[in-house]
Amino acid sequence: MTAPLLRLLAALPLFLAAAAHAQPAPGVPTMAPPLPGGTKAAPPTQSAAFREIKWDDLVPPNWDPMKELKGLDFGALSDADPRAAELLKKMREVWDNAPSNPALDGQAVRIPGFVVPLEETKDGLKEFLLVPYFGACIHSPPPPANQIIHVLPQTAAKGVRSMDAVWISGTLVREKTDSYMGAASYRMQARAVEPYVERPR
Amino acid sequence: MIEVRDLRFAWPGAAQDTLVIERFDVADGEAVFVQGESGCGKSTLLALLAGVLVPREGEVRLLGEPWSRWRGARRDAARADHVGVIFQQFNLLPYLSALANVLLPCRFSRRRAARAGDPGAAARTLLAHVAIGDDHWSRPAAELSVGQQQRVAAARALIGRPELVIADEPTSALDAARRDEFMALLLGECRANGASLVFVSHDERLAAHFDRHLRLPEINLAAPLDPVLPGDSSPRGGRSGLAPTGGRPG
Amino acid sequence: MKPLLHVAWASAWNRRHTLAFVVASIALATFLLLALERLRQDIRTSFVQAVSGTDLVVGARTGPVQLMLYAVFRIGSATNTVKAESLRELAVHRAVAWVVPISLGDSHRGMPVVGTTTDYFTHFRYGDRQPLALAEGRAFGGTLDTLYQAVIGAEVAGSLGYRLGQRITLAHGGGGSLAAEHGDKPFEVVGVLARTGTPVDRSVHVSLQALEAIHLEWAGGAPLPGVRIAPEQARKFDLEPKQVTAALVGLKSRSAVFVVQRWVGAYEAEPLLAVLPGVALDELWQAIGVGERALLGISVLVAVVGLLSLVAVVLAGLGQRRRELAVLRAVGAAPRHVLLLLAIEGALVTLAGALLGALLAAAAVLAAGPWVQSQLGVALQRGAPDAVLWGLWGAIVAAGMLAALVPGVRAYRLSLADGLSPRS
Repeated sequence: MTAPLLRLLAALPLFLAAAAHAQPAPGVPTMAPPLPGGTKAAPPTQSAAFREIKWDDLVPPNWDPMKELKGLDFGALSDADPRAAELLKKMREVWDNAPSNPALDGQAVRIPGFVVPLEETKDGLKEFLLVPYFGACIHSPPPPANQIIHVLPQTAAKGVRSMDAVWISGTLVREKTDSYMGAASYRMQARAVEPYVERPR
Repeated sequence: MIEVRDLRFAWPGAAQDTLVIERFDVADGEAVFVQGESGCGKSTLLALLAGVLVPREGEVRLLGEPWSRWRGARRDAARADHVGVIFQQFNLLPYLSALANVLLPCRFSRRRAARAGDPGAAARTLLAHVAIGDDHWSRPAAELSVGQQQRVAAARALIGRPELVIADEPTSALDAARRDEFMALLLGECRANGASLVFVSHDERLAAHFDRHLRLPEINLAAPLDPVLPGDSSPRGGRSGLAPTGGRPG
Repeated sequence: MKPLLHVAWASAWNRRHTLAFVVASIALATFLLLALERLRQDIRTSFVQAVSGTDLVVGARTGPVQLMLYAVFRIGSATNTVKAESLRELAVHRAVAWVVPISLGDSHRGMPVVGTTTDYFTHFRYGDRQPLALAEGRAFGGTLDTLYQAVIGAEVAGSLGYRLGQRITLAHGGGGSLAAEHGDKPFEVVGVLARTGTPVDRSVHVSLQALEAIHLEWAGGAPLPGVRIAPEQARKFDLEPKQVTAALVGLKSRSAVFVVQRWVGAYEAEPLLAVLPGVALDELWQAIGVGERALLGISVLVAVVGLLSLVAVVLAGLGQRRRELAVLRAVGAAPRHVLLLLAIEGALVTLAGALLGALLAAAAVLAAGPWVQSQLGVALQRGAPDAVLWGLWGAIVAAGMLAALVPGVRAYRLSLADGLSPRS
């Protein structure tokens, strides 16, 4: 019975990060996504043509997922409280319907993330999803709809495995949003898929 | 042809010089017989004359050039171009045919190939001169008798008309009849080509064939004081001849 | 260089009786390395190609790898079943485009029988989104009138010699020749699928209703004694399956995969698991990866042993060859020529061994290909080797040339010291 509450608490920081992008709340620590998009470790190819963005940028500036959950004191909930599970469910619904940022439609961008393979052929990976954090499909709750990019590389990416960290560069396109679908909102025909290498600070 | 001046040579690690020669000359076309017992430094002298060894001091000049001062690669190239060598035994590469063996110097020296004209034809001519029947030409050299092998070695030393032929006891493994045959052949060919010949042996009876006869201990100032017994006193353990003594029956 | 090549060849040929063993050991090492690498690549390609265009595979809650193995590759067996009811609910989820249920368990002469719907032939893809194609005939009808129809894969047709119209009976479970047969309800082959190079080739496809029909009088894995239901009578029963083994799921938008996966995982009516095929395969590779690396390591060691034997044999023979080297010095070779000579000899031996090994590997692939295809469902590539294999082969040859330098250097030193008067 602690599971729902634990998951709620685990998901909270991410919620806060998304919210912080909208309104920085004083005193609330923001947890940056594990892959700082703005690292200076820029691989040589095409960095000039593509603008580096962060995962925060994919969230429209005026979206506030916390709106509906304001006024609730999470600390007051005990582990077995059914409201915790309800809350989790509600949060997920909000996330499933997260809108995309119109300002990014058609932009040439670069962003780093983790790979979730969809179509692998003998020539390489032809389709995958890019998510902001490791293990998106396994234990932690899946990312909200506007934090998933459906990537189709122009040339199949060789040697890319599940949960590899990569940079993708290409033109970001907003998918037709359909709030009934719970589908992600972004797609990219990636010009390049490059391995992500952390530059030592 | 050859001029040796103030030569001093010692084997590495030896206490004293093996060879000390003030002066030793060989003229163009001259046939010199160098006599000495085993261990007196004959082979060392030949190695120096062939440019395989370099003296500690002094100079060896070949065709007027300061041969002993050159780097190894240049000396090796000069040897290929100007010198033919005959060992006492095991002169040939056993897996090559007689013809291929005779042609070896032409492969390593363009000059000798050019001087031979058509190397293949020259090789056959020489083999005929040294009385090797043509049925033996293409067979592996290992199938030839010792006498035949020595004669093929002579042909190889002579192809392309090198200016100098060095022979280290080439007849020691031959019986009397073959020996005389060989000497006649060798000297005849050298004379015909105008090549100088430096011939080393302990057998005094052969000296008659030569223009000059000298004894090595006479010109070698570093000759040991004690009488030399075979198999003794040379820092190298007393071998005779340039080529190794194997136990091969003659 | 040329004179050296000639001498090196003649010299090596002269010692061919000894060197032949070295050539053989290098050939075996090369064969091992190349054959294993090709097998590894082909197995991987085979697995990767087995399914395409499927967003999720849904089954009872086991592990992702195990689910993939039995649902897609028909290796192993399911621990539990999936209720048809659950799949119906899944099918109406707003993000789901299609659901193809599959039912496994029976076999025909060792090949798995797959119960499914006609949607299978529409939605199943393999390789690079290639749909299934029929080489002959058509798909089974999926209606009550066309109950006892089967569509067989290319390998089934090829190895068992079946054509259209063939009558076959299915066996219960996978027991091979000892399995209990559903002898009273034979099937007719109405379609033969074109070759795909995937486990589909080894499968016999029938409708879900047909599977229900042949199990009507069975309970708990054995026929009920005294109960006989004739094939035509079976049609009168309710043949809708209550349970299946697994399902392939396609979504309207590929990025909704997490949402649906979570929905399946949280489904309360029964414990289910949904996996992304790509992710599950990568897990499989990770697990196998250790074994693959170990095999590669062993192959490399075998190659090293082969090269060491080359060095040992040539070094051992050097002592006797000092007179030869003196002769070469006499005709004008420098010590570095002597080194080159030995190096060339070693290179020739390595090249001979590597070529022989490559030929052996190619021959083995040709010879074993059909057997591997029928037993493991893996298609061995018979074409030209790819860059990786060339690289491996080149590495062996290069290593051999380097190894040959060892006796070369020794010969160099000997020649330098011996001059015209070797000590031997």
